[in-house]
Amino acid sequence: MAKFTYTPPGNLDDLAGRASREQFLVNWDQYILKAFRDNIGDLGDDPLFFTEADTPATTPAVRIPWNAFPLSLTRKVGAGVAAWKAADILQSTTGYTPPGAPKVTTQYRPQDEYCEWFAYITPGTTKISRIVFTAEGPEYWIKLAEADLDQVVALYQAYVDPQVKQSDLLLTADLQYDRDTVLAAGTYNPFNIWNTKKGVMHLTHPANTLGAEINLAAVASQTVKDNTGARVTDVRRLVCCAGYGDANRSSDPLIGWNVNTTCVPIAAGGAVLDATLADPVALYMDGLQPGFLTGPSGESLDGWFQFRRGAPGKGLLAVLEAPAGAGFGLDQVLVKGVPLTRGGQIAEIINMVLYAKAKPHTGNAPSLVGCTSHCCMPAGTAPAKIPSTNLNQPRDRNTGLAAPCRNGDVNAYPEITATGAPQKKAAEEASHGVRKTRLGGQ
Amino acid sequence: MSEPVLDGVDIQGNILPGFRRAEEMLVGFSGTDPIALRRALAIIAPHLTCLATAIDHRDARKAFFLGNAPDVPSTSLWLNYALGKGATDALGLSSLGDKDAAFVAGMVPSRTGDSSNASLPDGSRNPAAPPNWVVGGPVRKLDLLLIFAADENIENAVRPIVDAVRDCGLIQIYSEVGRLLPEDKEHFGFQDGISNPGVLGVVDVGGVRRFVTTRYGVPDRNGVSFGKPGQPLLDPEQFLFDADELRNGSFLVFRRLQQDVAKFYLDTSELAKSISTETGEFVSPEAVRARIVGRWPSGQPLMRPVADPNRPESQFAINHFEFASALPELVLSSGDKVAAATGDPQVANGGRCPIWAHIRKVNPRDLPTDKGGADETRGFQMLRRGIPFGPQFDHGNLASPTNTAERGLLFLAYQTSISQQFETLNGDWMNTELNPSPGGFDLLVGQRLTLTRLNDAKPAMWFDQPTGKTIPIVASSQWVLPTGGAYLFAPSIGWTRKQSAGNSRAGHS
Repeated sequence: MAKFTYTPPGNLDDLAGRASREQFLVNWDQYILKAFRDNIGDLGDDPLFFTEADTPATTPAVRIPWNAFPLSLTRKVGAGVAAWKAADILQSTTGYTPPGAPKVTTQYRPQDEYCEWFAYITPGTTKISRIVFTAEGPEYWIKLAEADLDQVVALYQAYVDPQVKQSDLLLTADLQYDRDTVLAAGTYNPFNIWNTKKGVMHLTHPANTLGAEINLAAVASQTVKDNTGARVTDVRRLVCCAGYGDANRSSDPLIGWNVNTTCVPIAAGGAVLDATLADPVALYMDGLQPGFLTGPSGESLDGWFQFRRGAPGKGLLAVLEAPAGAGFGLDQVLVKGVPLTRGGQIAEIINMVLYAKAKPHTGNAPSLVGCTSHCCMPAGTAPAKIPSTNLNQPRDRNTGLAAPCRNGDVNAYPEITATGAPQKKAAEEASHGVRKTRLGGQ
Repeated sequence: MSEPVLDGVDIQGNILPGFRRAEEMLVGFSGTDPIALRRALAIIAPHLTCLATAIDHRDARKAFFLGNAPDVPSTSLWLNYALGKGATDALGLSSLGDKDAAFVAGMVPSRTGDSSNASLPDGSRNPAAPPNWVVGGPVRKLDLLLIFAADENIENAVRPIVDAVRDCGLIQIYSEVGRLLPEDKEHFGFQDGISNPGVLGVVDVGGVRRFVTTRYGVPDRNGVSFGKPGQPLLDPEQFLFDADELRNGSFLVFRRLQQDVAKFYLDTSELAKSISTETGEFVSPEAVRARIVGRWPSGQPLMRPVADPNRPESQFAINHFEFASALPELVLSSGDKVAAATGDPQVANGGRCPIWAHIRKVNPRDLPTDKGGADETRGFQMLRRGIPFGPQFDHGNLASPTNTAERGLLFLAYQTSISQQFETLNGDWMNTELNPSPGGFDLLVGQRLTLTRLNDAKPAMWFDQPTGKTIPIVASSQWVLPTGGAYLFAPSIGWTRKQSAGNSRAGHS
């Protein structure tokens, strides 16, 4: 039987025919495998998370789908136009500044459901010519650039803009990308102008990383308990208690809950399983929900949404644009009967998906662990309003431990107040106050 | 009580607590002339039935059925109403457009997933296409919908009001009577409306402050309060606007859903045969139908297995379940006990209740979805006030002429966000194989269209619990067809009176 290896997202073969290909594939396999091993190691004895490099999965891949539009923005500003606009406003952070270095500001999109987009405008007009959606993790592009920067430039020229120059894509100052990784000045800049202000190639939100996906799935495999010793299974409370991902999204709570309850079913009588993420490990666009995209005469325009990288079910880069000879442009497209003006309207009808597998658990029976985290909300928030409130998950920036609620906030779920020691992982996550990946060296 | 205080005389009674009378009659009008509309409002305003009246009546009926009152109260004709987009624009309710893009766009196929091809492949008229709808759509635009309710003789009772509204200059385009069927069932034979949510809040009725939704001593769970077991009490803002001219108003989704009972029974019998062949075990047509709904006709949910599903547990038990989690035994404030519920050990496969069962599709309860968790799912729920129309199907005599008559459900649901509530459940969940969890379309009500915008067969995965096998099945026919409907707004009674002020005389001129 062939040795198991982790392959690039969507089985992309960006270096086909190039000398750099073979080593890149080896590096990618090792990089993903290390992320699995590091996370499995953090789980202690008898983890319920595994890598297929050690043991084959025994179940087919299971789909876990979620909506591409940020639920956190809908909560913040309300559904519809306000949220669509908010999703298009680039954000800035100095969180990647290396210790002791002058502040480095980078930009990212506030699109935090592992799908980001950019609306390209026809020069000299206000008309949208195309909208590009990506689910590609930044790590892939960082690794690709390490292997073959020339090809990265060529891919940018093909998918973003022919005017892209190599110098546009390079860092001018070091970035502390995560605890283990410094991206040096002169190397690939994942937050370059063609991936932020002027276009999109891959994910930029600090939480939208493949490492975060692996970490989330690993941590979520642990079953946790509240102050009374009862297992926490409510979707949002589980995130707040276990401290993985972000309680305000559609994706993280869903992914975490599915892993958690696949490993140890809530109802008595279910078999305990070990979970893993299926190869190729990636976040994907499943596709566009059919029927919502129409032209001026009510005709379906579903075909205007095409995957350029990946394929339906495992889409990585998609473009919405008028095909040649269409007779009209995106300015006459309706999304659910409403004129298309923002990429967020399309994101609302994109299904995201990841694939997980499992095998029977052969170690000791898992035990419940105490909460390592908690969620905070403004004081006075009525219980009925908690669902529509974005919660904070404060952590001490130095230790990674769950920190007290700040700024007058109070614990949203006091019945699951953090009681246990935080995961090792929490420390690195805390460095930017957001979920982050472990980009370990080879 | 630190709960919101609702205005019992300003809120239309079909929003809260719901009419629940033996007969209802819907009468629709077209017309967007503001003068004509104000005249019509002047006619209907004095007859509008408010929350306080409806809840008082409900209490009296309950007292009678419990043996605490000598008689069912005799009650006059009730009336509520709602306006279409053209009418709200004409009457200056322009802020509605900012509240929901769905209301602006209307009930169009690109939002609902309805068929838009006016002709079927054989060239005949497609009744599900909005241009051919009985009411609503681009041809029979619905600008004013009157919702009458009575215990009997409703057609005669409504006539003076309907005539007077017509005389205002509006064009009557529709009228239809709905009647409760025996045992509160819908035409496919299943008990309906079991899992309607409740509402937090209190209301003053006859000088007494009381809960809008009756409490039975069900303890809070995960921060959620309950009326009956399994009936979450939701924020009134999910159903009623809270500010300015829209205050105490609500969006109303009206769908005229035609049900093909004969085809439903025939197809499910065929499905049962093919599943039996595939699994090697006898699967009854009744079991197939129960899996499609998620409940037995008696209302007994598949998530609460009982020896004889024709003999359901009490009304307090049949909604006391989650899909994944167990629920404890309850002792209600009356002293009645409700047995505990167990979760499904194979919930990811839909071991006990299919992933695609109607009740799991539209209310996955404790399960996470593509759009969040249980909190969000509760936020998508609506106040459903539907009532069947057409004669009951005669299963004893399939050749009965009555079986050729049209029948279905007049679906009425109140909410404050059509796009977040109705359209999430309808378009994003029922009409897809993937959401809220992958596994199949809602075979009962969901729609799947071909590229030609005609209804197509819907697939689902039948999970055979004994063998663990998954068998693909298909609902080849569309048993429920939308044949009318509109997105409407049901204003407050106070706003209605203001609009109609000074027009009452003109209304009869």
